[in-house]
Formats: sequence, C-alpha cells, structure tokens
Amino acid sequence: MKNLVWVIAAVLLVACKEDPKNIAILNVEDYDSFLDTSERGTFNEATTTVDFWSKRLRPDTTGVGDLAPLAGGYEQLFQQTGKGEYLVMAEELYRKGWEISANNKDGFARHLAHNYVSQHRFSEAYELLNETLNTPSNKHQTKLMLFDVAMEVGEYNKAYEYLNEVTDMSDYNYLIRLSKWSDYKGNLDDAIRFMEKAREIADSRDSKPLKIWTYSNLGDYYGHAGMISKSYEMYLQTLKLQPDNAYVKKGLAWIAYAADDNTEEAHRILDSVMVYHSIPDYHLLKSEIYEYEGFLAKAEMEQKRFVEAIEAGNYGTMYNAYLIEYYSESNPSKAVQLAKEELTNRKTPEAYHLLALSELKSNNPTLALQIIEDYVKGKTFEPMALYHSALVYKANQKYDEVESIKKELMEASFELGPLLMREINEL
Amino acid sequence: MMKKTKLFAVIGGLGIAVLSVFLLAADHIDAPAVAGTTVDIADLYAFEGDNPNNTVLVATLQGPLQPGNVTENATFDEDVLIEFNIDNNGDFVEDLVIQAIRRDSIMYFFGPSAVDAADSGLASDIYVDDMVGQVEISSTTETITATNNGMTFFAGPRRDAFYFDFNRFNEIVSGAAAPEGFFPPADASDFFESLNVLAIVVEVPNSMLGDAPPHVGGAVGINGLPNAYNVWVSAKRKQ
Amino acid sequence: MKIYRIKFIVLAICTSLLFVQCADDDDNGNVIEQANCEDGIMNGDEEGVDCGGSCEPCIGSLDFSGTFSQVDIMGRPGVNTVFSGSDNVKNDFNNSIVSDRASFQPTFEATLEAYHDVYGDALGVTLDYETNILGLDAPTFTTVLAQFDALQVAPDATTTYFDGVNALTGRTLGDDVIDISLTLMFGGTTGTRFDGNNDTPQLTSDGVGPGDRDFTLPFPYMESPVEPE
Repeated sequence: MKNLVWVIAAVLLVACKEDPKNIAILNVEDYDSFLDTSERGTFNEATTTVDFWSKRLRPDTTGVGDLAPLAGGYEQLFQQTGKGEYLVMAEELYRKGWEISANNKDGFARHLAHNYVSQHRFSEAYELLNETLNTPSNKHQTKLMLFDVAMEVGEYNKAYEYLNEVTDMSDYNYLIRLSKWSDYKGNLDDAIRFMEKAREIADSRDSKPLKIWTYSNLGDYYGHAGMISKSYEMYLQTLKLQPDNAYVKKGLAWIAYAADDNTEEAHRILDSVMVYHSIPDYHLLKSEIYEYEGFLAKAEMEQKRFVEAIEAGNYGTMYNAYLIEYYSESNPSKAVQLAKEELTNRKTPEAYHLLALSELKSNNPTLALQIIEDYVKGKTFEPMALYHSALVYKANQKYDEVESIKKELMEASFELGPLLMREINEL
Repeated sequence: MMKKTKLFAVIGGLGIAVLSVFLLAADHIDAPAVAGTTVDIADLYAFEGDNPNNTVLVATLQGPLQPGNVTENATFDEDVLIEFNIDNNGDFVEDLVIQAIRRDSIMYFFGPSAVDAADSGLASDIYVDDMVGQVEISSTTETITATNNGMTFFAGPRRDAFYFDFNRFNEIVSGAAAPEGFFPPADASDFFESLNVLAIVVEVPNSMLGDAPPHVGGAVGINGLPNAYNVWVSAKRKQ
Repeated sequence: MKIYRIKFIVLAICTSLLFVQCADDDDNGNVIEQANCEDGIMNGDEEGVDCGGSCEPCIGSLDFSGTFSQVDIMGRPGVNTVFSGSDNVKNDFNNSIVSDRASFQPTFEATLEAYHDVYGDALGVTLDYETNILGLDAPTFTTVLAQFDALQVAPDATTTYFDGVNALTGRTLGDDVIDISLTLMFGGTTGTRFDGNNDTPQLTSDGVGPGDRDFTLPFPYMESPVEPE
C-alpha cells in the first residue's frame, strides 16, 4: 500500500506543477484502461436493477413499492446510455406512484420533478414542487429541490429564499447548492470552496455515489477556474470509482483539445465513449474539433449528425439551447422561434442571450442589443453569454463594451476552447 | 462546450444516482428527509438470546436492498452513529446507550454507557472511553462475529426478516382496495421476501442493562405485564 | 477512510514536492524512501509502529470525535409507516425525542379515524375506531403509539410482540407485527371486527407470513443475504 502512495505521488508530481506551456496535462497511461469499452459495470448494474424490479411489478403497475426502484433503474439506464426513452419510462412510473401513493406522495412528486428537470421541463417541475410544498410534505427536502428548479426558471430571489431556509454547513445537500449559488453570483472561488467542503463530507461518509458526483463536478469547477491539472486529477479519481463514467471522459477529451492541443487524442477518447453512450453532444464536440483542425467537411458532417441524433432521440426540448445556437447560423428565424419557446420554459439570462443571438443573426441588431441590455448584462457570468453579448455589441458599434468583454473572456480560454478563442480574438 | 449549465442538470441527476432508487425506505416507508439515504432505519428487534440471560438487539438499515451488487455495494456510513437506547427507569429518556459506528472495514461498539440527563436527546458524542468491542464487517458470503467483554457483535448484510404485503397496504389506506381489504393468503404477496438489509446485531447480558422498570402497560390499564425496559434505536449524523 | 488518508498524504507530499520542484528546480530524487507496514519500525508516514498513515489505522488514533445529530428513530414497528401521511410526522417525528411526542397524538388519532372513513365511505356507512382488544380507546391507543414509542423488552420473561399468550415484551425476528398492529387498529374489542368474514373487509391480517425464512439460527440469528436468482 505504501508503495502505491509513492507511485501516486510521483504521478501527481507532474500534475502539481502549474501547467507550464508545452507540457501536456493528459497522460495516456493514467486513463487508457478506462477507455476499454468492455468495462460496463454501471450499465450492467442498471440493467440488473431494471430486470429485478420489472419482474416484481404487477402488470397493472399498482405495486407502489416497486415503482420508485424500477424508475430509478431506468434513470440509471438513461445516464448510462443517453437514450431519452428511458427517462420517459421513469417519468411514467413516478407519475403512477405519485397518483397512487397513500402516504408518500411528496416523495414521488420530488422524484417526478427531478425527472422533469432532467428532461428540461422546468416549469412543470416548478409547478409540481410548489403544489407539493402545500400538501403533506417533507418541507426541507422539497425546498432543496425548489432551490434547484427556481434557479432553472430564473427565479433567483425565490431560489435564494429557499436556500436560506435550509442552511446547514454540515449538510452535503446544502453545500452543493451553496456552491451552485456562489457560481451563479460569479464567485467561483467560493463555489470551489463549498464544493471542496462537500467533497470532504462525501469522503468522510465514504459514499461512492456522492464521491462520483462531487469529484466530477469539482473537476468542472477547477476547469472553469483554469486549474486544469486539478481538474484532470478529479476526473481521474472519478474514473477510478466508475470506469464507465462517460461524462468525465468527455471532460478528458475537452482537456486534450482545449489544453493540450491534442485533437487526435480528443477524437480517440470521444470515439471510445460513443460506442456505448449515445447522446448527441459528442457529435457537436467532434464538429468543433474538426473545425478547429480545418476539416470543414467533417465538421459539417458531425453537425448534421448532431441534429439528426436530437431529432431521432426522445429528447423533447432538452437540446433547445444547442439547437438555437445551431440554427442561428443556418435558419435564424427558426432559432428565434425556438428561443422564444425556451423562454416560456425558463426566463434566464442563459435563454435571453440565445434569443439575442438569434435576433442578431436575423438582422435585428437593435432588438438584440435591447435584449442583452435588459436581460443579460450584469446578470450572468457565463462565458457564452458574454461572448454572444460581445457579438451584439460589435454589431451595434459599441466597441468599448466589446473590448471589456474580450478582456474578461481571455481568462476563460480553457472553458471556451481554442476555436472560440480564435473568434474572440477577432472580435 | 463545457458550460456551467452542466451543474444544473447534474444536481437534477444526483437524486437519480443516489436518492431515487430507494424511495421506499426506512420504517419501510419513512419520511423522505432520510429516505434513500444511508441513515434509514428499517426495523428494530429486541429478544432473548440463545443464552436466556442475554438480550439481543437488532437494527436493520438501508432496506430494502436488491440482492446482488446492490447488496454487495451497500456500506455503513462512516458519518452515521447508530444508537440502541435503553430506558431502565420508565421515563422514556435513555439511561444507557450502546453505540455503533464504522471505521474502514470495522464496526466499533461503545457502551452500554450511562447517559446523564443533560447528554440525552437529539445530539450525541461517542463514548470513546467505553469502547467495548469491534467486529469486521461481514460480506454477502462470509459471516463474521466477535465476542468482547461478554457482548457479541455482528455487522453486515442479511436477509430482511420483515414480512408485509406493503403494496396492498398502500391500496388499503389510499382507498383503492376498499371495500375488499387485504388479500387472502393465496393472493397476498410479501414485498420483502427476497430483499436484504444491512444489520447490526448486539447480544448483551441483561446484567449490564440494570433492573427493568414496571411495564408501561400499567399506565394505560394493561396490568400484569412483566417488568420491561423501553428500547429504541436512533441514527445520528455527524455535524 | 483509508482512501481519504492516502489522498490527504498525497496532497501534502504533492505540495512539498511542488515547492521544491517548482521553486528550486533541484534534483530531488532522494525524496522517495522505502517503508512498509510490516517492518517493525515507525517510518514513512506511519503514526505508530506499522500503523496509521497509509497502513492500517492505529486503534488509539481512530477519529471518533464530533457531535452526531438525530435524523431517524424507531421504537415500535410501523409507526412511521402507518402515520407518515401528515405534515408534522414528515417533518418532525424523526427529529423529536421519545418523551416529547404529545403533539403527535392528535395527528395519529385523526389518521386512525381517516383510515376507518376510507372503508365507511366505500361501504356507505359511518365507521369509527372501536376500542381494541387491549381495551384501549382511540385517544389512549394513539397516546401509547405517539408518546411511548419504544419496544418494551422484558429481561426475565418470554420476549415477543404478541404470541397468543404473552404481549409487548419484545420483538422477535418472526413476530407478525403487521397482523398484530392491524388487529389493534381495526380489530375492535374482539380483535375480529374487520377480519373479512360476515361481509366485512379484511383489515386485520395482510395475509402474508414469514414464508421460508428461518428464525432458528444461532447468532447473529438472521439469515445470510438473499442471492440473485
């Protein structure tokens, strides 16, 4: 055991140097074994779970106790395969439970709301939770979820109220939300600090699911903060716990592309994931990388596959944000229409900047500017929102604003990636 | 692109991975504040041991667990203290506690420790000086027990002993089964028959628990019952 | 725990090496020393001889500090299951102490009556709880459930929840606590008020027994876990 420590220390030795130029972050030996796609432990567990509870469920699905575990199995299957129909199956089971449960309606309501969030049906989730709060309900749990959903629909003041009603610095559930709130307020240092505290709890409890969740999210945060080696280390730790975690493999591919300028490796990692995890996102990332490499025909092909995959899958409105961006170039009026739909679901700065982008591309720069100034400026620190704001300012000859955003975005170069940075430099 | 919006979706996803699988949980449907977490108490048993001078205390946790890898992967939470509370003077305030908590692959036991009135209630520290024994946590295939200081210990996965047509019960109380009521034995089905739980078992000599008080039944007119301790189990999370 | 410790150490090592490495650029190839958990001396990151650090923890060094706060509690079986349909039970029961539960009694009594109403409505009659076989009326019965929620455990008598002769002296693994609870809730004075006979609904037995469970085993008395089919 002790030798292992030294091995890890030696490996980390590279990692703890603060990313000097020309030294790659990724080390293939660290993660190559995790790319072996025959390792499908989590998927197999989800399949076993679904088989087990399906057999028990009565044909008329009236067995209330079997519904939630079976639905949980389907949601795991969704996570492991990216197939939207599993989410819909879980939704139906949770709704059935919510309808027939005598004493635990609120538990099912929270699960159903959760499922709606996964499907990006935020307004429905918000309505359901608000309704539930006024019936016999575990208020603490319901408020934790109301915070999540209020953030989604842009009700930030309400979200903050709920957050303050569940304050407990020793509670993992509170800390991860406090972290999210800090991130929303643009305070990434605090966001990281609270997520690190949550990690301490996950470690102290020695809880594998919580560790997986916390490590992967912390990896993202470190990436946002430009601490790419730390991000990499968190992703590796996640993979040690869950070798088939597709999400962090995508993170590795991003590091290969955005930090190491190793597009070949990025493609290799993505290809290994796409074999078993069929969400459309990978096509989009591959398209971006191809474009960066100058393979425009391939880039276009992947973009086409991306849209086809969304249309072929049972994803509902889950990919609207991406589609708006996509159509803003090829079909701006469709983009405007989609953005307006998205706004009925969530009135967030993230939705408004997409509307502004769509209006800009529809040759309505004045309207776009008004949207940015009314609903985006100063309300979000999300780099893509800033980038789109800069595009709008530029079209309106507001060069001072463009310059100040440009300066800010330079700090997010890793998060934005080299292709976009190239465009930002040309702003 | 790696956007911050990811956190939103994944907080949504947290429950999927962690919380949703066992909505049906403690007390075999507990208040969801603790449902689906590692704090759930499923059942408490207390009975005379094979040695009639001993009492056996059993707490089952985290049920119901699906057989196979879900059971194999279930672990006692290192931040959760399980306490058997014994009231031996009839005021329903604990006078003695036996505490259990996991560290690594071992379950450690403390007590029976005398509890000052000031220390009773919702918050506890571990009676570190009263460590009485430890047992390696059993796997699904190997049963490990240990005897220290006259007490015998077990911690690990077991078949759930509890039986209940839980699904029909829900239909009864929701009104869906009115006016028939429960099924006859041929049609009824035991929800927990092929499910597991995590169990902590302690066998303790009665001599370590003090004299038992008069049975509480006498307070509500049920007379003639033998003297009896009042016993309950609590799960407490580290603050 | 062990993983956590290792990581902590690794970070510490990392930081110190980082300092050397990044500040000095010295050759520090001698930092790594050989040590193991069986060499009989305290070396490496050990906190005692061959224990602590990345070895097995030293007993005395285990961390049992901190204050633990109640999140779940259980005395008699089924109390929370049966009465969890109300706001105050969902939010407060598990955070309350056994001797301070008077406020739950009215909720419990209302729930008990509501369960009877379900059947009264279905049968088109007015139904109320009837004093049970132990002679407890609704307020007394629900007071016992709310305010004395503990298992009574007799050290010098047969221990059972109810075995036909003895009652409320413990709870064995095999006791049919559900049928006993149902009988106390719906059985009325005779224990057979709603037993499925005479056109009554069956509310005093859920129809399931222990099946093939074995309750005759020695310590730990419970069966090994069920294996997957």
